[in-house]
Amino acid sequence: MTGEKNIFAILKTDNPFSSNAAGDPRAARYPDVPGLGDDVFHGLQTLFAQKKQHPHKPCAAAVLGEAGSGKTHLIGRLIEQSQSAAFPYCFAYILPFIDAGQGFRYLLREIINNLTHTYAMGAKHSQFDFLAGKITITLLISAANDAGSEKIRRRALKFQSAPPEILNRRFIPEVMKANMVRYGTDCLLKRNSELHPAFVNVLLQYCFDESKRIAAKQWLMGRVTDARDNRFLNVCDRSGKTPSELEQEAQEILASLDILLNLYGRPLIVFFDQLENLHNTEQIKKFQSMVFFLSDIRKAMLPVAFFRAQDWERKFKLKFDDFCSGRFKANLSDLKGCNRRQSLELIRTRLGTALDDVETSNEMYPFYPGYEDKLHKMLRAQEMHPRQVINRANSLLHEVLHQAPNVRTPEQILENALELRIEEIRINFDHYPPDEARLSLALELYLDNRPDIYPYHVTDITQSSGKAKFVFLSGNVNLPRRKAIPTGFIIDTEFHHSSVAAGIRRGIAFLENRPDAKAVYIRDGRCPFHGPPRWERINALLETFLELGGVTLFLDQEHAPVWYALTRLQFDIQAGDISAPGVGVIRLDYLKRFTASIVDGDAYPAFKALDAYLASGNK
Amino acid sequence: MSKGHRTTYICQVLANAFKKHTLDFMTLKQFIRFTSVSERIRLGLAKTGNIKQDDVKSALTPLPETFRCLKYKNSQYLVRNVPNSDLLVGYIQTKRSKTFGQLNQHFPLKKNELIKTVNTLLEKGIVQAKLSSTEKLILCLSAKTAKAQKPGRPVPADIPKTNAESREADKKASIIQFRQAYDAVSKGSDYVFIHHIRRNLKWRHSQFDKMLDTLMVEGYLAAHPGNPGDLAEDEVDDAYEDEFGDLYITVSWRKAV
Repeated sequence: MTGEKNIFAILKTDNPFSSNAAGDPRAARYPDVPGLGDDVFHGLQTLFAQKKQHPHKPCAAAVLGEAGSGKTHLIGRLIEQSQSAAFPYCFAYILPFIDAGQGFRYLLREIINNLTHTYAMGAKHSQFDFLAGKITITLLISAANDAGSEKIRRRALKFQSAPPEILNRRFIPEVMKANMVRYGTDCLLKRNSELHPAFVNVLLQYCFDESKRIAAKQWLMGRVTDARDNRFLNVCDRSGKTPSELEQEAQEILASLDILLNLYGRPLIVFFDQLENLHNTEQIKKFQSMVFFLSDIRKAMLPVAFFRAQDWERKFKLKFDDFCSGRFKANLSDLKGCNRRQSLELIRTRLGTALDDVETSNEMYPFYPGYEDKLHKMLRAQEMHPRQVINRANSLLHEVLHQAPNVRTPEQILENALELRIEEIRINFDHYPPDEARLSLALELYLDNRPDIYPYHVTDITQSSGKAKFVFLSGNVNLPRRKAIPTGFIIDTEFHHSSVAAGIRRGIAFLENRPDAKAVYIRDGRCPFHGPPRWERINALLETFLELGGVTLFLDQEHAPVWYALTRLQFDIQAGDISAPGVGVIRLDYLKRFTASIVDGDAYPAFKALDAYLASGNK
Repeated sequence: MSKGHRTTYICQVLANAFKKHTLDFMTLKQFIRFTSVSERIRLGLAKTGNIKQDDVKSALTPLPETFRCLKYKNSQYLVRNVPNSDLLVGYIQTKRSKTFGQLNQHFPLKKNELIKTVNTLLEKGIVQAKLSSTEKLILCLSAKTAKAQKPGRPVPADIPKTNAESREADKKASIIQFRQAYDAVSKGSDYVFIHHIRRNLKWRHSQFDKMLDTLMVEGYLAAHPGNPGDLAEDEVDDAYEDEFGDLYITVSWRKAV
């Protein structure tokens, strides 16, 4: 048996109770506790099977549970089960949108992003590849039948059991790819006239032409792609469309996806998590439209919303219209906590994650023997939320290990939580596609509420509303003994040259109209900014912008995660997911107060560069 | 009705009557006024008409240990079985009598006993006194007590425990009361705010907390931690914090009483 000293050393460095939040449910998670949440889990599985059997039946579901009751863990279980269930299903995990005006574009983007991502460890193919593979096989068989080619037919049939594999095989010569796309488009449109022709065309290019997959994915996500990509994919330019037209198109693409999922694929379960972050009436109205669209209009899609019970009672139940609350109430379940046996099991499994390879006298070691009474006293309520159990086990473990209780200030808790999220986003950066609304939220959080100890503070931050595809924030930078400096922030994640040009022009106009003003152009580095000759005019505009005293922040893979992590942290706080013993649930006003200090420092150069620019008196 | 059931029922009727009356003592005549016809029938009393005090006394036998009877100025009183000092604090809190003279007139305690109790409370700083412009002695709760007592009436569970059966019956009656308050404020929801129940029951803070803890340990209800940021400060004060420092905002009833 490993000595007590060694075990204590392991537990001190790898405390299995230090994390009490589930994080991203698409990533790895702690082991399940037998029986915990099973009634909700099985209830939802039955509902998904019913949706597959009766696609016409309108259906939505809601799960209530307080923060720490295991909602995100449950989503993780359902995601894991999606591929191995008796009725396999696709899934999309959606965090709340920020801009209600882009709700359906956001939904489309997130659904395609989820579908095209490979989640299982070592998996080669995404959920979308499964659908694309099935479509490819069907069309190849159909074309082979028409052409009388038994060889191609037989080869295509071989992939029936593993459809995605066909996407990587060269079935047809390069010159025939365009013909196959044309043939497939005609076939599918003949079969179902409701399909969106451009969507079918781009989808089939994804299926038959590997070189077009990246561009096709961007288009399928609803992005306003650049002119060159439009020509490459042979699609119309979206740049002239108004926001409402783009919203409409997003719904049409989702509708077409739904038809194909119903024909070839599996039901798509859309998990809406952290809905506490929907605040205003516009956001709630848009969410209701999404629920109506997914539950009643579409056949292969089923929305499952996760609410904190407190918010459901105080906000959503009152604000939702009769239709929406009725849909959710029809399949409303609540997550119950751990009974005493499950509480102990939760502790045992967590200990097991740290002491897996270590031989101990008892599975509950180091709590048994010696601390049974204390542990049982801590767990004496007959029902406890998993997070509570973990927190209490954590404090007892500190006692057992003779460690001082890990008392941290809210600032330290937030700093640690931010670091964890940055790490998580860096690992799964694709889960967080470029999003100007999230970048803008992070920036506002950083600039607003700065205590006086900082060299500058920003007041009167406002966001211009309009039809522009970029976000424009303006505010006044205040420096000691200086007149307030008007400052503009252009946050841009657009791909189309005209949108990018419009954003930079806005910055130029801002600087030209106010000689003392400052301006910052911020862009997610994943959104290409082409050099000359392709974007010659835009590069010239950027030169002008810089000459007028503006600066640029191109957020690369190292820096952009920090910005997205800030937004994610705000979402998590709003969902009540950040808490610590002795401090309780961290509130949003703490984050607002501490953002400037927790992201300050050498670790976050993008913010440091921003600080340097804003704090300098010169342009 | 078995003896145990009868005690529980009497306890329930008394609790209902006291809840309506909002004071910790009442005359037997007042008790009749605060009971329904069906309750009077189940107690074996006449539906209406002039009901004698002795009949009421025998209908309330065995009187649960959470209550006692006393005679004051030719009237029979039903009183919660808590120390006189607690009764007096509860009464002063209602502000129905502000001066000592008014207290002496309305509070069912002989003058010398009342003086003794008031003096004890003054010495302990629970109550404070001042002279009005008409030279009358005005009594009110000290600021510290007012905060600690919020809202403040004792519950039936707060009794000397001598008899196991009646103790069990009293506990059950308290659970029933708690359940009634839960139902009254739940509006059909499965997540009920603790501050709503607390405010409905108007028990003493510590007694409410004790009962809530008992209900959690015995599995009658599950308490849920929540986000205090969504609540007003006084709502958080009226939520529940356990001995480990966990704050609970809502509860769900899990087991039939």
